[in-house]
Amino acid sequence: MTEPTEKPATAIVARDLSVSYGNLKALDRVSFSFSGSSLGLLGPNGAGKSTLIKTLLGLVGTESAETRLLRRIKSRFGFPSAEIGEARVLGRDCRREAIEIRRRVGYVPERDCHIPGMIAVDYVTLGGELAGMPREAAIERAHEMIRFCGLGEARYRPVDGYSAGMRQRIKLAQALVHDPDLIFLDEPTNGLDPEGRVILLDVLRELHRKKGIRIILSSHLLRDVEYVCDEVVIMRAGRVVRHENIEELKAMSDRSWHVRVRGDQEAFLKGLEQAGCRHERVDKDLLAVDTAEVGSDAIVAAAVAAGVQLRHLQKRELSFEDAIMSTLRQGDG
Amino acid sequence: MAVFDQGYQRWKGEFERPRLRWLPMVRYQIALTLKRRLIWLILFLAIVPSLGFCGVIYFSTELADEFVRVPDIEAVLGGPSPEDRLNPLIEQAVSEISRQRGIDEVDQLSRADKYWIATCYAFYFFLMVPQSFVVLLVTSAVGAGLIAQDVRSNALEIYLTKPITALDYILGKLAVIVFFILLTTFLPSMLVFSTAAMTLQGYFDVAWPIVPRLLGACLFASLVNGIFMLGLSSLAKSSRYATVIWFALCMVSALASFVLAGVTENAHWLFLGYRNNFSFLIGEMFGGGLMFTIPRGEPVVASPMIPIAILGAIVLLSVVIMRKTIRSAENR
Repeated sequence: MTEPTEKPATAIVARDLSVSYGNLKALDRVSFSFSGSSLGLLGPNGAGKSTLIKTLLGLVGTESAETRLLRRIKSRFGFPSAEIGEARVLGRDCRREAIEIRRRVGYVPERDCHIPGMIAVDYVTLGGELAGMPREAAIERAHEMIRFCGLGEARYRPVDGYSAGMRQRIKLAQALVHDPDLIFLDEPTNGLDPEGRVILLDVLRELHRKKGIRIILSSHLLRDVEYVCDEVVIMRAGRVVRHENIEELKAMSDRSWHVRVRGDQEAFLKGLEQAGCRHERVDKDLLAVDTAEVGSDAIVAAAVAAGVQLRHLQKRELSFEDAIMSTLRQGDG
Repeated sequence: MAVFDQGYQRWKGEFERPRLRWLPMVRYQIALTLKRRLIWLILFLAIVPSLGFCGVIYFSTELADEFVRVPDIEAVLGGPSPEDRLNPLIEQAVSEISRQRGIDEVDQLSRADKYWIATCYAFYFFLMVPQSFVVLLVTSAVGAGLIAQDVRSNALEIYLTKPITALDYILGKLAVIVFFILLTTFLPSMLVFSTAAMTLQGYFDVAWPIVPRLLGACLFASLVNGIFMLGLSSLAKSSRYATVIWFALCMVSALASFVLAGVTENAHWLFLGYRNNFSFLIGEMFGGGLMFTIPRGEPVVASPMIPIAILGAIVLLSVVIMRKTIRSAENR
């Protein structure tokens, strides 16, 4: 196995990635690619964000020996077998090269994780050594990372005795100790006070903007994602609903309209769809319409074609949160 | 003047790719375990019997030498010369084991044969009586929390997202138990052997083959006990459950096996006792299976495949439980 000498242009490529737990489909044909410097994973609880991260780390979704055997038998006798897709992280296959991937990525888990009784500096050093760093380098680097995460004074204290905020920071230190090219962060601001949250988000911004470490931030806090990330993948029920540049998502307010019509609404909505406009019902009469690239003329044209009376047409004031919620609602539809 | 950037610095070193990726885990886990006072108490308990053995070997030999040196009465009466004399304890051990094995011509055995028989007998007794009890303690004290605590504190998530596999994780945990069991069995055994070799004339030349057997027996016991304990440890989030189940299984199975063997007069029931399987197999390693005796002192004659199958099933079941626990931690 050869070590890629250069940083791959595309950090993640997922194609038709599906993961099931029994009858529950945690990921359903997820496809996206990420070649930027920071990506936010957004979605409600159970959307599949954590499963996606663990799949990319090679922890879940890997075929068991039985499945492999079954697939071989099926293909030998010409039966169709379930395609569970593929994913590559930093140019390596998630199933076959999971160990190499984990050597080059860092992971900050969502839940509180510590090794009982272990002091912080040992905890971080162990992370470095397990990643393959020489012992002396791991020790030196552990001290640096603990200081970088603002825990220098507490580095000889057992992690068990840390506050929730300190534990979040020590998890980041252990994820950074081996200097990864990519970090997965699963709800990293959980349990942090407002000041700690801002400090952590600043650190993350610095990492991807100044130090060239790519970041994948899974969060349900839209403001965290908006502050740190350049791109966002919105997930719902195991599917990718939208993959967009955050600036473009924010620009949705320039092409989003509130519309009220009188007459045959069904015909009007059909006309909008044919023109390539997305729409959602805000209340009984009011519609929110995203005209995408076609412009507001499309709304007027659809109204004329459907023979409805256009009673109200006003630009929507959309925040980033509104844009995300709007996308999620469309995903529901 | 250049100012050192206190912020994040990229690391420019080279990663190592060691074959034993789990070794750092073992080192840190051993250091953590040694911080507990209970472990030091058990280590002290483990060394006490060997010190006792060493003392008995040393003083009995010294006293025997003094006895023959002062009035050489036995030589006058036609007894064995001082060179042919054995330590009286060894003579006693040889008589005992010869009685068990049905050997009548004890006097005709050579000095080397007597040394060898006594060595096998002594080390079997040493491993199966005092050290076996220590193994019971050290296995639960060290192993009960190894996986249970990782599950409770979600440390599994940290380990498994590093470049190690689930097998590496299990091997790392197993190595910790093996280390402590070897520390409390093989090391004291070697202390006893070294004392005997230094004290008894010509002992090393005859008895050195016991060393690989001791190592084999200790490794075998540590691996099987370790895997079984890790299986129990992965059953629950609390190490207390694993400890309680461990002692209950060892004690209850031993009691039930002796009662059933006594009532039915069928020695095969003894294999129901978890530790009896070790007694039989280690007995096989040391002296052809005849060392494992039922309480009345009669040797048990049975196929070694029975305890091998029983312990194999326990190991297999433990591995399945561990795998299931780790798999569920990966998927959570």
